[in-house]
Amino acid sequence: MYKLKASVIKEFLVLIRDIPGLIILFIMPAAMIIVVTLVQDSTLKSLSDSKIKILYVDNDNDILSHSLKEGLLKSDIFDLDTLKRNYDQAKTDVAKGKYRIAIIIPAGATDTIRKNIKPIVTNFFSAGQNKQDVNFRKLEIQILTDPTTKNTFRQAIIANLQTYTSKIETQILFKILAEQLEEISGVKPDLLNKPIETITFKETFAFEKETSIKPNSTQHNVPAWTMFAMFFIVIPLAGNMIHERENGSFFRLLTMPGNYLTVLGSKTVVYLVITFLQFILMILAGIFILPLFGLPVLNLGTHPFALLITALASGLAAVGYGILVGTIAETHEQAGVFGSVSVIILASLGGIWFPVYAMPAIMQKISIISPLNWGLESFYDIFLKNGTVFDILPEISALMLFFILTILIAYLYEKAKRMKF
Amino acid sequence: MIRIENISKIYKNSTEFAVNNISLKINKGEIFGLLGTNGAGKTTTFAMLCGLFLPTSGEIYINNLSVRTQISEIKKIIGVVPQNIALYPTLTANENLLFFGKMYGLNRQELNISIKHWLKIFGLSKYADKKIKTYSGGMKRRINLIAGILHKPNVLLLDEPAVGIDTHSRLEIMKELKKINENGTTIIYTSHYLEEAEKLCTDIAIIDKGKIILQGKPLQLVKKAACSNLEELFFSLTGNKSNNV
Repeated sequence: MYKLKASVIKEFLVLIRDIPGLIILFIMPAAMIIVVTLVQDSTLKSLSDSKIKILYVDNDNDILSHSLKEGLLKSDIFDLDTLKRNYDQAKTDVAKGKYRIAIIIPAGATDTIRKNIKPIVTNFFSAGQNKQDVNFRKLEIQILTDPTTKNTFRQAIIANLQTYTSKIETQILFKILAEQLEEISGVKPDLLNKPIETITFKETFAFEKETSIKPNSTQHNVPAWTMFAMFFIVIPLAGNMIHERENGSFFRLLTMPGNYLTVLGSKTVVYLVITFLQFILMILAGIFILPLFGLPVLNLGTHPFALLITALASGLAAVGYGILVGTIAETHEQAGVFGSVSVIILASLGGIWFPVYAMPAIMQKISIISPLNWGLESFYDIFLKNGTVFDILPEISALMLFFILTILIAYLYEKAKRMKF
Repeated sequence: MIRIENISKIYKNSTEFAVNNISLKINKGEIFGLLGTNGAGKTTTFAMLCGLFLPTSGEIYINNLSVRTQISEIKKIIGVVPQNIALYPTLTANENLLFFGKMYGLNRQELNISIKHWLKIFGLSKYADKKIKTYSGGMKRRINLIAGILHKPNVLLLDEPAVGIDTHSRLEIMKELKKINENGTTIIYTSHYLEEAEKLCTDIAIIDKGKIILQGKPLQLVKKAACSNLEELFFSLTGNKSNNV
């Protein structure tokens, strides 16, 4: 214990005098969490708050074009410029980036719908006499999109337009139906003039437990980037081990009485404290700094003990990984490149950059190999689902097992390295 | 005191002997110089004495303890001064020495006394709280030596302890090594300063291509070979100039 304490003090002193290392450990992740959350939040806002410019070419000037325009404006996503343009002019405007989308409603569009519907309704009321020919005319609404617009976004707009057009088709159908009924009965049916909206949608987040937590960019990003920052400890930790080998102090330690596990133990203690401080810093950033930028305040859930265990288990897994990389890498370059690239790969797999549920099926299966995923899922359980210690037990066990395995491999590798001489 | 019995070492992925059937007996209180050219096998022998890795065959005993089976006990009674400055550059001399002393199990009180004593001896008291990275080469060498002797080892193993420093610092280190030896510590050291080895060592062994080619007391060896000094003797035996040793 005496030697472990001495070693911990030494590690601490070495670390606090490594200014670039401290910047990597604390300032970079804090900056990252603020920037990424801001960017993601503003991206979401760009879809909802800041409007998308659309060129609206109305050659119809009838119910369809008017209703469509009204509907688009009502959605609050679009900023419509209604101008007289032919196809080529509209295409040029979009190609030059003046508009993200151009919608061209052809002349007589509403009339085409009327002509398509009217014979159906008339035939229905004619009771088999004087039947009209039903020949559906094609109606084509031109949509020009900026090639840089994301596919999913483009599809969302088209789906939106389809919804409006079918709604308008129904309205026209009801209008013609009402005219026919009025003709037969002499009474104008009031109800059919009003829009019928009997079906509404109510969205509720499906939580297993009662919670007031609402998913938002802060709730997602703080745990994600906390995990990323913790695992980035691999760079200074592996660098510390390589430096120790290069300057010969590791050689001296090997000739001294004591176990190599004491050396690893002291590094684990010091760097675990660092990961915990990173966690605290990230939490504080989520509570106090992010709201200063107009972002939602981080909600910690109601199980602080579960949160504490997750932070410690994630920290241990990160330290174990750093020690393993520091043991295997021969040079600073190897540790730096392999350490950072491997953490980025594990972060990508683990859902730090991109949600796991949105990944292809094969990647979703692979993602479970990433320790960052285990930690992140545990944080999500607490932050978003009000999870308890019991709920996070599988992830915590996986993280602890990962730590034990990495330390064991590092210990055996170091021993084997000396045996090979 | 130290018995090296027919040790040989072949590194993995090699077919050649790095050390080939060496036997040495070093008595308590000796200053033993292990001299040889680069690649002769002295660093391999030094590493095996420290217990860093084991010989392929043969045995090493220090105070009747086997390096093969009792290395933990051996580590408590030896002090090692590596050729590299094996110190933490961002820590002060005091912090480095406190750490290494504690790793030898010394308590804070006796460590403080010992550190103060050695810093004074080597004229470094006023630099105790300066970071190692700010030290000159000679100062670093002295702290490197102190880190290996704080716990008063029975056997002190030194690998080129005065390499790359000025004459004044080297002489100072040699003078102190002599004093340490006079207080009962057996010293084994490697050096390519043959003149220095001749003055300091009570016994020497010259190693070449993994084998001991000459062993004995320096003055007697020089006299017997009718050479003017150890350097001339060394050259006549190995065909190498001393600065290549």
